[in-house]
Amino acid sequence: MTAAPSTGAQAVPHVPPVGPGERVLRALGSMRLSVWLVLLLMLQVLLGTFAQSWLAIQDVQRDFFESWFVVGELPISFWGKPLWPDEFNQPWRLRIPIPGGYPVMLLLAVNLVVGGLVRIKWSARTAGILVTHIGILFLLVASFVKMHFSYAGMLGVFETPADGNLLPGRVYETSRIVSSYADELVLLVDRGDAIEERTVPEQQLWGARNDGIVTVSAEGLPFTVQVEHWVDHSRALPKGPMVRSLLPEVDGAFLQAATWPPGEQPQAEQEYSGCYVTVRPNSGEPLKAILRSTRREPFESSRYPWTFTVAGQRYGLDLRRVTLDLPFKIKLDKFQKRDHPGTLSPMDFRSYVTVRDGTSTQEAQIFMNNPLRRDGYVVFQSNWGPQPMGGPPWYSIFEVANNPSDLWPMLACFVIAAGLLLHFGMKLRRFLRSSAVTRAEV
Amino acid sequence: MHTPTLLSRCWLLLLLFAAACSRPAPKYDGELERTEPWPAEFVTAFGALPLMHEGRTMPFSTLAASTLYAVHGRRDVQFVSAGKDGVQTVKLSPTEWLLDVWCFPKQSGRYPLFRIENVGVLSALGFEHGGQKQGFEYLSYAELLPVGEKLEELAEAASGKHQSVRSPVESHVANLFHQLLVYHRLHRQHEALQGSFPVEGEPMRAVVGSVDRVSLAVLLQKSQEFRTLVREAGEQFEDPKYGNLSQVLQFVSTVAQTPSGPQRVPMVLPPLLPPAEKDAWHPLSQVVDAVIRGAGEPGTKVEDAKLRAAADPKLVAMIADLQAGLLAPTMAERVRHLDSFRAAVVAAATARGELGKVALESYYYGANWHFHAMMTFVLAFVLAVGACVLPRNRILWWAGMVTSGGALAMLVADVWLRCVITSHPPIGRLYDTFLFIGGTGALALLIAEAILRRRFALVLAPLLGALMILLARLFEVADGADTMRPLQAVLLSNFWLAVHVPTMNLGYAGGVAAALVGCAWVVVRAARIDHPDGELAKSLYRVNYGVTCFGLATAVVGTILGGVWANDSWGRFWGWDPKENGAMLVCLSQIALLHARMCGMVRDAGFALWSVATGIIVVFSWFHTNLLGVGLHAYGFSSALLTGVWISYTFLGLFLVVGGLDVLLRPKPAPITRPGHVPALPTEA
Repeated sequence: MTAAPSTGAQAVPHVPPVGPGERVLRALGSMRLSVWLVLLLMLQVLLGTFAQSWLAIQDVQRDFFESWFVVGELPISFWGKPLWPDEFNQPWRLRIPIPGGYPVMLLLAVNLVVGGLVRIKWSARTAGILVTHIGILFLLVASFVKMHFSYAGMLGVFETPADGNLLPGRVYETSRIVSSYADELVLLVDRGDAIEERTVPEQQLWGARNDGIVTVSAEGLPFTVQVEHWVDHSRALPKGPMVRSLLPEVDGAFLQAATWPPGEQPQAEQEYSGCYVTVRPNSGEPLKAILRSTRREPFESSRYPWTFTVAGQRYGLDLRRVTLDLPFKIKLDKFQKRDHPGTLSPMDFRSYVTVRDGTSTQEAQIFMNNPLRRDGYVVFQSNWGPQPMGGPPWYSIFEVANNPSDLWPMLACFVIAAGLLLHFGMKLRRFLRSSAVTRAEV
Repeated sequence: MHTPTLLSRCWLLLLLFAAACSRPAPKYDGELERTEPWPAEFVTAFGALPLMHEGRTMPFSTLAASTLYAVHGRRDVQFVSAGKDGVQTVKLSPTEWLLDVWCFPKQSGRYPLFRIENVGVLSALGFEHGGQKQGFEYLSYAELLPVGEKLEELAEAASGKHQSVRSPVESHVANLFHQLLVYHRLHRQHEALQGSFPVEGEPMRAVVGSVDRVSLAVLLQKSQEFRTLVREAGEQFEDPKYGNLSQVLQFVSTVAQTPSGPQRVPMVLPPLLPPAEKDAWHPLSQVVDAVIRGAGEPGTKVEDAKLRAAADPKLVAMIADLQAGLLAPTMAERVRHLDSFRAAVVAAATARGELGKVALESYYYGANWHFHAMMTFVLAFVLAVGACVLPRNRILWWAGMVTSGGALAMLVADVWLRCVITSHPPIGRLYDTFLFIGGTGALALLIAEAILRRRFALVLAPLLGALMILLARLFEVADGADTMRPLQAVLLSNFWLAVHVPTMNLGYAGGVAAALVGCAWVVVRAARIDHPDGELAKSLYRVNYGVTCFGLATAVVGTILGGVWANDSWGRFWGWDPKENGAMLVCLSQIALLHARMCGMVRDAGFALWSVATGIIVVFSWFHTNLLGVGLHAYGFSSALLTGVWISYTFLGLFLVVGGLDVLLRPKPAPITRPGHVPALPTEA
């Protein structure tokens, strides 16, 4: 089917009878399916790229590439001028419904395995193709592992002052990473000597977007929590007499979905999700509140959860960033930024850190293109501050990722490169020996 | 509905092109101060003067050229001047122009420099005009300065809006303000040295000698005496007995104010210290400050070693030479003083080990290898066309190959020099990609020609090479930025710059070359210039297949390597950034094409048209993704690019339409051919 030479005109191939299973396999592994799937993937990537002009990147990722179905929009412009512009001079967008990333990538993986590995003729001629397909499959597996088994967060620390004079409210040494995007709803139960926590990840509350309602309950609790008006990128605003709000007012404030001026790139990482909660006790009046998450590193995060009392027991509710403790602590000994001479544009910025766990201490430098890899975690230099003029006091923001498939793409790249080189090299060699070349010489 | 727009645009472009070719030079009003031309050897020598600007040491000529491109949008300054000797046309090279800016501020302030393409801008600024006409209006600095505040207001209002929602006039105004600001800083850089100030009162005369006027340089040379006078005057410095001491003090303190933060003007005074880690040169203000304060004297307390070094008498001598040059009454004296200033700076830069690269860069721009490569490619193209017309003439074929090879060698020399000067691998900025892709694409086609010897690749290779160099030159002027400017921190990894970027660009080169071959296929078929057996189209198909395979392999490996790099610098393999997506689209298109060909979904016509479509995707990925204003790769921005991108889309789209129509209107489909495979014929003997 692939590189098999056609046998010319003389032979009528013998066709064995085909069963239904065989037919399904044939369809799943067919090269036509690959072509159509790749074309579909192209459309998805193209629309997902354009969508970044009006959606925040993680929303694009969620809607286009980590979804089952999406309606993409293609802005129609010509020579850089929008056609049928709206009031903000933005182009009219053609809406195109397409399958999301999940079904396309899944089918593509199946197609690759069935057609490109199992049913393909295994011979010296197809060796390069096989190796390439194995490499791509490995890449797909790596991305699957990354998507489902990896997590990442930010860690911010201030430079430790030379005089040892640590200021309150600032983080100087920490093992805590704060998720870049993910929030969780947490119920705090005041047990007197301890605080008990129960958490609900935000995915379970997404049903409360728009007009949805999600009810959270647990055994042994004398109330249920009803979540409404989930807003992904929210702002909390005070409600004045002249302020119109789409969402209800609670205690003089309301939530508003963050919007961006047309043409402006959404900065969603500065925006935080929020929601309205109603606590409905088994007996008594319901209690209402607005919850909104924030992120503050490298400053100490002191949270003030909404507290309420039901049946004599004190509880708290909070919407907060998912945090996680690393098995080691990071301290910023020194931050160094060097600029191109006479300018403010950095040539290099790097952190000198001390990493400690219970037993050992390690000193390291972290800078662009040089992350620290330790205990399955990778610590990257992500940002610095205060911007734009710099410190002291300097602080450094690291991105910390735990990805089991961290180095797999590199291996996959070697495999794919080797496979392509082998295949196209062999093709070229065959071609150079073929009659097409010798005839041209005459 | 939109065809008329396209047509009229094409006409407009043609007209603009014609207008640019036979451009009536704008007028210069008034007398010319400089009555004789700059001596040619002096211009060459002074062009190599090292200075520091925007984070690196560069020759004077580079500063002149990149500033002129940015503010004027052309490679030279041309105007007609009606003087005493009748009407004369003046043409200035960038170096001559910048010398005029330094030495003849009044004259250079009246040069017609700022190009106005939209009369709406003139109306907005309150200039009278005779309506829109063919060609451009030019305004001078002297004309623009009085409306500077108005311009700033308009530009600020425009900057508040995002690029995509600005009107043409608003974009133009914002751009014009930026140009004025860049020029304004440069024009006023040596203001303090471009004149002298009066001397009044005996005590002042005792310091600087019995003269009526004195220059800043002389005051700096007498700084010790001046300081004694200031100390003696103390609080009474405004007393009439000290003459105009207070005005002089006021003047000096204004000059000595070093702006904190980034230096916007070139720094022309080299530190006389051994080079510390990438330290900056001295702005004039720093030296004046240090000298007047006596920072170099043993008794004074100055913490900063840099400031102490700035008080060096050698620097004062340099300033004296520079000022004497700027104020000299005759050309001979001017040249003598400026040469002596240059010699001192060169000596200091040599001692710091900074001269080598500046000298090499000066040679690089002087030698202009890529321009010679372009012209040689054009010659090779002519020879190759000759080889097609006279297919039996083997000498023409060889001449074409050798000339193309020579041009390629010049291009390689050019890129190699750039690598040596910037100390990093061939591609760091968008400008570099043109030269690299032009070179590698031409090389790939020449190799194909050497193997197949069908002559069409011989035509296409120099065409691609010349076209890419031409685009690079157009981009250089339109972008108006230093093409060797320092890179941002994330790119400063020579390993990845050497591994990922060239591999990725080889993929682009493959895509561009394949698109070109696809276009050639369309031409051959649509114009029916093939052999009766379709031999030429078949060969084109073979080459297209080969180039596409090459492009796919490098694009896939390059894209994945990019992910591996991103994993090391940003902490994720893939971030759905527009540039990453663009690269993936190129790979996917080529993957789909090769699979479609293998399972018979497309044949020769489909393959050719698809590769042209892939060319459109390459243009999208190469440039358009940078223009979306989104993402981490948006560092190579230029608004002139957008026009270029749409020209490419239209050009390639035209081939798609013509090819598509040809396929539809052709009575019967062509027989299946597979490159590299000749169907086995039944043998009877």
